[in-house]
Order: sequence, then C-alpha cells, then structure tokens
Amino acid sequence: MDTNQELGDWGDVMLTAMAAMLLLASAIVFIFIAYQKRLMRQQKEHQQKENEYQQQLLRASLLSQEKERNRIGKDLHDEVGAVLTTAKLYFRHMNIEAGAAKFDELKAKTLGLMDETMTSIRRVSHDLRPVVLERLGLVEAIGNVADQVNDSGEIQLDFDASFEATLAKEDQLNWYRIVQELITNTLKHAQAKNIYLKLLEEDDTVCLLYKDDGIGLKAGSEMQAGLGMRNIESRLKLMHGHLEIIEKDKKGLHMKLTSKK
Amino acid sequence: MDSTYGMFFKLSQASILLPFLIGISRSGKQSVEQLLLLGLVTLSLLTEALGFYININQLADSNLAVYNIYVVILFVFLNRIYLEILQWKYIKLSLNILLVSFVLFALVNVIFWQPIHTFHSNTITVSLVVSMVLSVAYFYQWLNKAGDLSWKNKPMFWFNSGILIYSSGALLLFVFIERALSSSSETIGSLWAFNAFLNIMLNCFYTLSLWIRTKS
Repeated sequence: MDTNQELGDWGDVMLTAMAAMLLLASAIVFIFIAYQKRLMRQQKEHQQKENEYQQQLLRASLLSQEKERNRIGKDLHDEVGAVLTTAKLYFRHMNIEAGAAKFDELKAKTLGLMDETMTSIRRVSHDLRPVVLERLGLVEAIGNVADQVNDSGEIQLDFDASFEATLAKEDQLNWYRIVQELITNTLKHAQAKNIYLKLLEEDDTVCLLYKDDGIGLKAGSEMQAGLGMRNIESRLKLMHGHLEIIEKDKKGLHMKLTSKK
Repeated sequence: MDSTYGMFFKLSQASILLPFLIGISRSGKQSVEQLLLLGLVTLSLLTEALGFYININQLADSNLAVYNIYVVILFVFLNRIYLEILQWKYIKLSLNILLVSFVLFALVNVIFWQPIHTFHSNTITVSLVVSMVLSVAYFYQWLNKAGDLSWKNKPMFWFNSGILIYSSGALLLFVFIERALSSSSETIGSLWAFNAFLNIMLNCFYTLSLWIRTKS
C-alpha cells in the first residue's frame, strides 16, 4: 500500500515537473513573440516619426520656395515694374516738338530709371545665385556676407576659414544659404552682439562651426522649431550632413555642421 | 480509462499524417529546410507504420528496434535542418562533430548499455537535450539578427518552437524512464498520455511549418 502510494506520488511529481518544463518552454516562445512584437511596434513608430520629419522638411522646403518666389515677385513688381511704368510715361511725353531742353530732361530721367532698373534686376538675380559665389567660391562669398553684416554695425561677425577644397556648385550654394540662414536667425531672434564663424575641412568632411553670444536656442525655441532651422536641416540632409548643437543650455548658440565633401 | 488512453495514443500516432499531407500538398513551394522537415515527417510516418505493422502482426517480441534506429535517423535530420538555419562561424564543423559523436554514442550505447530490443532512453535523452540547446540557439541567433522581425511567416520559427516545447516537456520522462516503467499502470498511462499530447503538439507545429509557402 505504502509502495503504491509512493509510486502514485512520484507519478504526480513527474507529471507536475513535465508540465512545468512544458510551461517554461512555452513561456520562452511567448516571450520571444512578445519581444518581436514590441520591436516591430517600435520600428513602426520610428518609421512613422521619420516620415513625419521628412514631411516637415518637405513642407519647410516648399514654404521656403514659395516665400522666395513671393519675394522675387514683389521685388519685380514694386521696383522693376514701377520704374518701367514711369519710364514708359516719360517715353510717352518725350516729344521732339516740346523742345530740346524738355527732351533732354526726360531723356536723362529715363536713362536714370533704366540704371535703377538694371540695379534692381542685378540685385534680384544676385539673390537668386550670388555672383560672388560663382566667381570667387564659397570662402569669399561667406567673407562677403560677413563684410556686409559688419558694415551694418549692428553686430560683429568674425569669419575664419581654413578651407581649400573645391565643392560641387550645388553644395557651395547649400553651404552659402545655410550661413545666410544662421546669420538671419541670429539677427532676428538671438539678440547677439557677436557671431563667430569658422569654415574648415576635417579629412573628407566639410565642417562649419557657428557660435553667437545671444539668448541661445532654449530661450529662442521659436527659432529652433522655425522654418529657418528646418531649411538648414533640409539642406544638410541633401548633402548627407549632420547638425550638432553644442552647449545648447549655456548662453548663446554653438553649433557644428558637417557634411561629406 | 485504458480505452481513453488507447484512443489518445492512436490519435498521437495518427497525427503525423497531418504534417505529411500538408507537406506533400505544398511540394515545389518549399525551402531546403522545409524539404528536410518533410523528410523527417515522412521518416516518422514510416516508423509509426512499421512499428504498428510489427505490433499487429506479432512479427517480433517488440518493435523497439525500429524506434531505436528511428531516433538516430531523426537526429541526423534535425542536425541537417539546424545546419541550414544556424549561421554562426564554425557551426558546420560543430554540427558535423555533434552528428558523428551522437552516432558513435548510439553505437556504444547499443553495444554496452542498452541492447537493440530495449528502450534506448540514453540516446533519446541526449537527442532531446541537444534539440533544446539548438532551438534556444536559434532563438538567440534570431534576436541578435537585426532587421528580421516577422516571425509568423517563418517556417523555421514554428518548427523551432515545436522542438523546444516537445523536448522540454518530454525530457524528464526519458531521464526517469526506468523509474517510470516500474510505476503503477495508471502512472505509466498518465506519463505516456502526456507524451502523446506533446507529440500531437509537435506535429501541429510541424504542420504550421510546412503550411507556409516560401516559394511562389
């Protein structure tokens, strides 16, 4: 009887142990499935965020294009259009019978307007594709921007370059626009007194160091999320570049922007 | 009670037909590892049929010799399947050494410890432990492999899950088989019924694994 009881107990223990092993193995499979599901969910979320970010960049790029078109349209309408209308008016009154003095006066005025028109058109085309960038390259073009900023007397811009590489024209324009955007952002939002700008090359990388002594990104968060910054990111992305914000919380803004040559 | 167990055992033996039929119906649309699995299933079906035939016709005192040989050939199939799906460095060498070692062990076992007409618990136990280790290794490899996250449509996920669950559940039975065989008939019946249940589960996992089309 005792032996039978013992054998029965042993059988129960065995069955329990086998069931426990079965449950353990099943748990491993279920944990694996749960882990894979979690990874899939995270991957999906990451993909969604990446898509949203790409959409934001695209939107920023389109907005920027639209803004630029509006500006050019406005410039042409307000400056060139108005001057040409006046010139047309002068031409209409330019009559040899009105007297030589009157004719010469209108002719001089018309020529003045033509000069004005040419200057306006030059300025518009210069904005579209900076002549200095075409003729002298990126370093000189940024130097030119620095001179213009310093001439304004509002802010001091120190530009230093240790850069001899020749970039593709598209990349040159991207870097030029990025510098313009950074300076514009500082002028608009940062309340800075000084800007330090350095362009250099590190092995096969173009590196731009940008620093100002303004209120910084945290306080100027409007700038951080703004169109300007998105444009910068968008242009960097086009060049497979990277933006790193150094000392974000300290006073001022310190950034390092890099891209492959 | 006995007739319930009897039905259950027969159901367990017959359950191998399900993956076999599915595997045959999917022929031409299977990967190498699925073909090896189909080979394994076919071997299991033939073994069950032969064992049943010997038993019914009283051709020998027991049909254990058939099952003992089956364990070794089954191990060869399992070894070759894991050779296809594990991708570590030196895995081919390791699995080849493992296969030769196992066959030698089975020979030593039959010569010195467990004659051919006795129950080969030693080889079964070793085979189950190796299967558990290989299935865990496969999961580990998968978790360390970046990118591939979908598991539902991967035949080897289902095969591997079945192997892990069956091996873990049945291991203790074969480790303590001597003790189990000396137990009361009710205990033996319960333990074999549990094994039959695990066998049905394993065949269901085989079916899932062979169901998935890997080629269009």
